[in-house]
Parts: sequence; structure tokens; C-alpha cells
Amino acid sequence: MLKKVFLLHFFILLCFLSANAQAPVAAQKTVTPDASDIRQQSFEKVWNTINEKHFDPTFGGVDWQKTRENYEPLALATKSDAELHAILNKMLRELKLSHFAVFMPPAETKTAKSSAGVIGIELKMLDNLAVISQVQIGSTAAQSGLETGFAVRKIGGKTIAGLLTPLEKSFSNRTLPEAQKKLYRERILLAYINGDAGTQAKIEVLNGKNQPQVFNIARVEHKSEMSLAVGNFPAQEVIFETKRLPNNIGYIRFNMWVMPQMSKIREAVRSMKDVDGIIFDVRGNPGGIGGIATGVAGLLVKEQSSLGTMKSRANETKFIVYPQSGAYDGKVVVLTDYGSASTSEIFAAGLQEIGRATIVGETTAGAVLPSVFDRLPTGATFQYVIADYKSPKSILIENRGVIPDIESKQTRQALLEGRDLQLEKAIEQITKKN
Amino acid sequence: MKLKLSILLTLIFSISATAFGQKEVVKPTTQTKPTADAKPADAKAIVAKMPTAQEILTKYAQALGGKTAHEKIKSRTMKGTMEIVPMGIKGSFESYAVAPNKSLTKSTLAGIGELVEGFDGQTAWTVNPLQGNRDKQGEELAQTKLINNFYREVNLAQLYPKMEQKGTEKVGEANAYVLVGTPESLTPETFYFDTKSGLLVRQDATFISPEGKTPTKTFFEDFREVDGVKLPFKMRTVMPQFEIVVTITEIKNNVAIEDSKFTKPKI
Repeated sequence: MLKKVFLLHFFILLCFLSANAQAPVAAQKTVTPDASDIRQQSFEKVWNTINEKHFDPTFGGVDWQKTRENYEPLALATKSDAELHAILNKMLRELKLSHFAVFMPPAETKTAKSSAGVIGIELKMLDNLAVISQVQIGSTAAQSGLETGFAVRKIGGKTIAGLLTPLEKSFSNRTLPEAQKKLYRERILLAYINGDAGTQAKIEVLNGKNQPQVFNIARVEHKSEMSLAVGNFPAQEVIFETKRLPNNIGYIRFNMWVMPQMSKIREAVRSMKDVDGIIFDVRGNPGGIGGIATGVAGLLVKEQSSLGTMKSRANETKFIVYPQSGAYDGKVVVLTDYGSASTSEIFAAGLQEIGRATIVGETTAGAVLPSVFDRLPTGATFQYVIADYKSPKSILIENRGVIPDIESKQTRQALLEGRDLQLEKAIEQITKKN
Repeated sequence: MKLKLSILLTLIFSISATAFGQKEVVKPTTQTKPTADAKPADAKAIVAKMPTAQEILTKYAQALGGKTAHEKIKSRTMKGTMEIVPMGIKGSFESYAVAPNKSLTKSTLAGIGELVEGFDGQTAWTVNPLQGNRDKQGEELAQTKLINNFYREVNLAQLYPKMEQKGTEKVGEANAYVLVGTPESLTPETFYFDTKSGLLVRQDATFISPEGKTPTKTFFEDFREVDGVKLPFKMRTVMPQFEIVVTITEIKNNVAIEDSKFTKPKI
């Protein structure tokens, strides 16, 4: 018997919820005689998809027909696919929502600007500084002497302010929460720091003594585990960390909500039955497959519950959590920051509002609309929103974010001292007496 | 014996034109009024010969090979492929079914893994790599029981006690008789039977799960005869956000299947 119904059920959970801040790309496709036709078809597909499927039939007050009149001539006048994609992204930004994007898939951007070569650091935007928040052990950054807390001043001889100028200009006509702006800045700067494997990144920082210091660091081929592509949703790097902290506390951190993480998280949670609390660190986690959030939550609840609802034009779908055998029933803390987006926000908002977790850290990105990935005739990936998302208490999280129960900000000084103030606050939450 | 179209068929209607795009949306008609798309001569002919619901169901059963041919088949295995549009997700499946209502389906999707759903006649269960395992309850279980009836296609009148004739509609190029059937304790479903072949070419229904109710439209194509019964080898289910295309590549009837196949695994 063909269980199509089963598939229907499963695919509801597959709404992809990755953050919308794609790395900048500069792919150009060779112009062919019918390239303009292909671009016209691509424009039609984008405009029509929004027109027919956008969850809000009022388009948030945007006159979508008028938008077509404004952008169609611009789109038809483009001379390259890259120009068209820029116009399409500009048109999509009129909706003032996350999770709309047109971008070339990774395989096709590799030859233009690759992120395959890395130096092994993560950044956080702290008090208008791009501060190194993590240095991977054994990375070329670590070997060169970069440390957490160093503030990046220049990349490739260009100042941070200069590199961010185009982005800041694009913010001028957009209404974005500060958390999302920080996320964009962080992504852009990391895209400049990383690049083609075999090249070098010249980085000037303010070191621990607040002295300028220049590093030339080799970008090396990225060798971490990758998830498989799920249809048009590209393969993603898989970073997973679990450990027991002092005071018998479990700690789980993962970079994205992609399939290989599910079994790792399940195994980790089930190995922590005896801990006094578990910290889920989703700082910097931009999202992924929505259904994984409910799957992980199922390891933490005793009764069926919901992490919220997504509403399309035609129906509503709840993020139902099915309790799994041997679910962990101790304290749970979800650690968030401005880089926690999408599925991370559904996980945090849902567990917070059903009273299952305490949220510690910073307000999240507020970029949480369920979306899917389609393909355009130009070959570009077209990400678009299929529904809105409301928390269990019917709060719209888009452009608002999840507000932590206990706010804690990271500081550069703490990073220089090798401390993680937010993690310390999370630990404090678990160890304190009720 | 025939394919359990039911699995695909179960879902109900009420699709809005704005949600699905206007091309496939049909205008409601009555028994006495032909569809706007139908050619006048054809429409008059259809109205003049408008059969009853029971006659339509009888013709359907005959078109599929007849009840006797179906009841000679006691079990079935199937294999096939699937694709989710527009997400570009591809996969394969294999399914096992034994009369009167046991079933198991394993689907493997690229980048996701294996999804399993079973029904042992009493308990309906699922195991998937995201949510783990769970049993179905309430309306969802009732719907599972309905669609797992091995001889569902030749017993629609019994399974849908209220079956009303609603005129004709166009489904693609074909004229179709429209029946709205209401099963016990569940929401109505709309069936579209080709006026010429008698075959079911479309079904609108609502997929029920704890996540909510999802309106679906399923189109059936490429009917082929296997062991005396006709089965659609291609099915396309359209939902508000997605479309699933299933293609069957192999069907075997009266295959020995261990009863333990349908038992919920211990996880």
C-alpha cells in the first residue's frame, strides 16, 4: 500500500528555515542567445510565486502589482544573470521579511568566490567591533597566534567600515532589527576573511594589549563533515560539540539544524540522563530543517506539545512535539544570541513558552519564516517564504526575536580573558537552587 | 485486486484558487448545468445521461477490473520513486499490504533518510529520523484505517455512507463526474471519475495529522492492468506548499508477506 499520506505528514516538517543571510557571490553565467528569455522567465517565476503563494494576501501592505510594474523593466534590461538576481533580491526586499533570496547554488559559485578555504575563526559584533569569538584548535588562525577577544580592524588592507559600506547603504531603505544587521555584518566580514583555499588572509587586529597587529594567515581547504543536500537545500557544514561541564551539566552545541545533527543530538541527550541540566547552545546557529527542532524537543518533554504554528494562505500547521521514550526531564537552558535564527528561534520560543527551557543570552535574530528552496531558469536558487510563524502563545517572532528570560551579553574583555559570560550565566541558572 | 489508491485518495478539497494557482481550479457545477469548459454538445450529452452515484461507483469498480478480480488478490508489494516539487527532493519507496488492512511503507529520501509507517490492523505507527516514533490517534487513526482497507476502491459506497452526485467538472482534458463522499467520523472527500473510462482521475481530500489539516488534490494517471486489475502508475498530489509526484515501477500481487512485517518496532 502506498503511504502517500505518510509522506504528506513528513514533508510538512521539512520546511526549510535557514537564515537568509547568504554569503555574497559574484557568479556570472555566460550569455547565450536566449539568455534574455531565460531571465524573463526567471522574473516571471519569482513574481508569480510570491503573487500566488505568499502567506499574506495583502503582502504586508506592499502593492505587489505595482512592484511588478516597477521592477519588470529593470529586470528585462539586465545584461547578465547576476544583474537580474540583484534586481530580484531588491524586489523581494520590498516585502521587508527574512527568508527571501535569489542566489547561485554553492557548486556554481565556487569558481567565482569560494568559501571553501578557511582560517578557522568565528566573529561576533560586540560594541561595533568585529571580535574574534572562537579560534578553532589546530587551525591556521590558532597557529598564527590569533586569539579570542582580538578585534578585527582591517581585512586585506581594507577597513571594516569600508568593507561594510555597501551593506550599511542597503540597510538605509530596509527596516531590520539590529540583531539581523549584526548577523549580516558578521557574515559579510567572514566571507572576506575566508576565501579560496591556498590563498592568504591579511588581517589587522587590535590584540590583547589593544595594539594593532597584522597577521597573514593561510586559508586552507575546509575538511569538516558536510550534510547531504536535501533537494535544492544545499549541503551544509556539520559542526557538533558535546561535553560534560563541571557541576554535572551537559552541553550540546551545533552549527545548523541539518539531518546529521539529529542522531548526534539524540545520542548526546540520551547519554545525559544523570546530569543536573542540559545547555543547548544555539548561538550563531542560523537554522535549517524545521522538523529537527520538534524532534529534539521530543527528547525533552513527557507530553505532546507544540512549538508554535505556521500559517500559509490555505492552512495552518503546528510544530508538534512527540515525546520520545526516556525523555530527559531535568533543567534545560537554551543559549541564544543575535545569530540564533529561524529553526533556532522556533526551538527557543517554543520551549520557553511551554515552560520547558530557560532562555539565556541575547535576543535572537527575528528571522523565522518557514521557507522552501526552488530553482529558477537561470539556475539560481530561489528561497521564498511559505508561511508565517507564531510561537505557542501566538507571538509573531519575525522581526522581533526571542527575548531571553535572562539577558547576558558577551564582552570583548571577557573573551580576552578566555571567559564566556553567557555560558557562565547558563551554568548559574542550572546550579542555582530553586 | 487493486492498488490502494486510497492512500492517495483520502484527502479532501476546499482548495482556494489563490493558493494553488488558477489553472487547475474548477468551477462548481450542478447536475443540470454542464461545466463552462465542456463543449456544448458533450455537455448536453452528459447531462442527459447523468448517472447516479451508485452507477458511477459501479462503473469505476468495473473499469478497475471488477470486485471479483480484486478479491482474488490477498497481498501486494510495490516499489517506486517520488519527487517533491518545488524542493527538488527525490526518493524511493517500497510498500507491503495484506488484506484486509495491514500495511507497511518504507520511503527513503535523499539527504533525509528512511521513513517507515505501518498499520497492523489496530495500531498505526510511524518512525522517522526527525520525530522518532509515535502512534496515531483519533481522527488520524480513523483516516489511516479508512485508507488501508485493501479493497477500498471497490467498496467506496460502503466506506463512504453518504455519497452525493455533484455534476461534472473538467479534469485536464477529460470530463469527470463529481461525487462528494463522507466517511464515518471524517470530513468529506471529492472524487472525479472520467465520464468515458469510469476511472478515478482526481481526488480532493484533507490530510489529517496532529500538525493540522492539509487540503490536497491528487491526480491519477497512467493506469495499467496488473493481474486483472487496473492501477494508476503515476500520482501527483498538490498541496498548498508542495507537490508530490509518485511513480510506481513495480507491483507484485499475492506475494507471501510475514505478519511480523507490520508490527511496530521497539525503539
